[in-house]
Amino acid sequence: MYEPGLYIRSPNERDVDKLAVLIFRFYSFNEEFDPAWSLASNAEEVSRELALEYIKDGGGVVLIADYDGQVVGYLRAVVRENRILAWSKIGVIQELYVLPPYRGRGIAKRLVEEAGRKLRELGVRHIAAEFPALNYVAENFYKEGGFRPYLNVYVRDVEV
Amino acid sequence: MVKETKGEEVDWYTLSKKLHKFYGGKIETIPKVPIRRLKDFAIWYTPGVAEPSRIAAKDPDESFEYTNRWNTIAVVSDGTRVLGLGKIGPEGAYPVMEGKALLFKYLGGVDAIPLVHRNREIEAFLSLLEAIEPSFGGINLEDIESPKCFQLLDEARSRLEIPVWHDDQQGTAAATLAGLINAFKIVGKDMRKSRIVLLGAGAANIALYRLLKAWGIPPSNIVVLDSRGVLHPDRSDIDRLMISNPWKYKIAVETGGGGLNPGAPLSEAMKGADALVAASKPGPGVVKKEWITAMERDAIVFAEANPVPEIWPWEAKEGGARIVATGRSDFPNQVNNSLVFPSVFRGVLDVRARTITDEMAIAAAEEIARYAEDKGLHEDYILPTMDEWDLYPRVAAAVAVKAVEQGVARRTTTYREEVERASLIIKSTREKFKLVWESGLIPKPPVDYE
Repeated sequence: MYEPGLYIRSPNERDVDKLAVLIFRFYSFNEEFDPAWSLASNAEEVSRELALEYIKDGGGVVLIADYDGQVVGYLRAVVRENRILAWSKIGVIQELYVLPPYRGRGIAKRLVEEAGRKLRELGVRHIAAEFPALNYVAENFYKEGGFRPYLNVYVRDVEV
Repeated sequence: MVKETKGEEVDWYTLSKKLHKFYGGKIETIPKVPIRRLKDFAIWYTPGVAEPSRIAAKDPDESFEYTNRWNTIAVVSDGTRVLGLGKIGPEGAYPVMEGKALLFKYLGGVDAIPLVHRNREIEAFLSLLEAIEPSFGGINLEDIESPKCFQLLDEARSRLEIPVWHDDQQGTAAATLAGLINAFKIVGKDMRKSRIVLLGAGAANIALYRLLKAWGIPPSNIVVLDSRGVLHPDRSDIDRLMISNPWKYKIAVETGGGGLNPGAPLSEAMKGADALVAASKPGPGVVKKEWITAMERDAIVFAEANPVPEIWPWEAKEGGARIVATGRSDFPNQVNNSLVFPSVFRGVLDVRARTITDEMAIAAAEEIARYAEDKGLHEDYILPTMDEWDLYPRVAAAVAVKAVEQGVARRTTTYREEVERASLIIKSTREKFKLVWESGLIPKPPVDYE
């Protein structure tokens, strides 16, 4: 889908406030699905710190969707390494969020495609995505994008 | 004798309890073919019946011609949201479904069978509907909790080849739309350019939103509020809504919250609005007089909660409302889905329709509005009443013609033809009933009201 006015780019200092809001909304949304995702009381503050880190950090991939000058979505992926594997590097999408009025226009898909390109440049063969097991919106999105189940992650309290 | 005195309500509960028990429910099935001698059963039953059976087996659509399927619907409920009573289960829902069946027959000549069940889970509910489809010409869903009812209706409409209607959504919405159309005529405003506020985001208003949109009102002119205020794309629970109630989520995104703040209260939303449709919780006091004063001139206020409207009609008028409608029969302008469902089903059954589209619901609403207009609109008459029985054939005809036009009917008809057919069916039903009653075969009620 071609969206005129949509521009996928790296964030800069001017985007801090808007990126912070998106990060906060991403985590508030996922808080819903599992107690292990409960937010810290200063989560809004931390969102801002994270936004600043993401803008500086070169370790992974952070992209924002700029729509007619508005920051309407973002993606963050990291690279994980395991030397014993033939393809030792894997890119993992850890955060992906698009504002409600801009959904259904293929913006998230564009973010994932662009992240794929960037990750390839970093020597990555596979791209994975992490999201709460009960988030079926995310599940449907990645399945439609050609992702297959890859890793099961289970959780429980340390004390049983 | 239970007396109705001024200012004092009849004790309908006691009366109803006694009479339901006395009559053992409200409906029964009665043959409509001649049974002159026992030999007649060779026609109606074995061996003769094998022939219609063979025909219907070969072409299932023929079952509409050779059995009473063409005129029979199921009134289906799991009892999860019974009017004013809540989640009382299937047995508790039965008296209501049976009452609905009575209305279907009396007002629309439709044979309706109460069907209450335990399949609350959505998939189980749907497979039940699919399983019973061959018995019926249509399904009327009733008293099912929200938001399950939305998914259920959407899914059932796509899976079944017979009309599925959820009266708490579409019936109420169509009656409301009819009332709004006429109210706007009286105040002389263009409804498509007006600001309409919907209070309550349950079955009725979510369906109304859909109908208003289909009728041509831009979503940005509509504001919808739930118990947490204006539905808005920036509300903090918006992502949660996408999962838990995608219908509300969609409204928030499409309307953009009407330029108000996320979660803004009703008092804010009503400022400068042309119409308010409240389908929320019983009042009084849910809507305040001062808020109506802040609306545009010639405000239209529909307060549909039962038994007590969100604001009393006289209070709304004192606040400056020009037209007020409620859900009650003892006030003018009753928004009553009994104006809708008997005739909608009369129409779709007569053309063997496969579904009821939003356009057909709109056709019903517009015909109801036209009927009242033909009689002469004024502030206290924007909608017909249930006793104007010649309304029903007209609405049936409007729905039937729309079904034919949209290619969802198995049979064709014209407006005039369907008015005649529906009038005949409804009149003969009433005459039969009158005869039986006058013959004394139905015992006189041992207790009564005056």
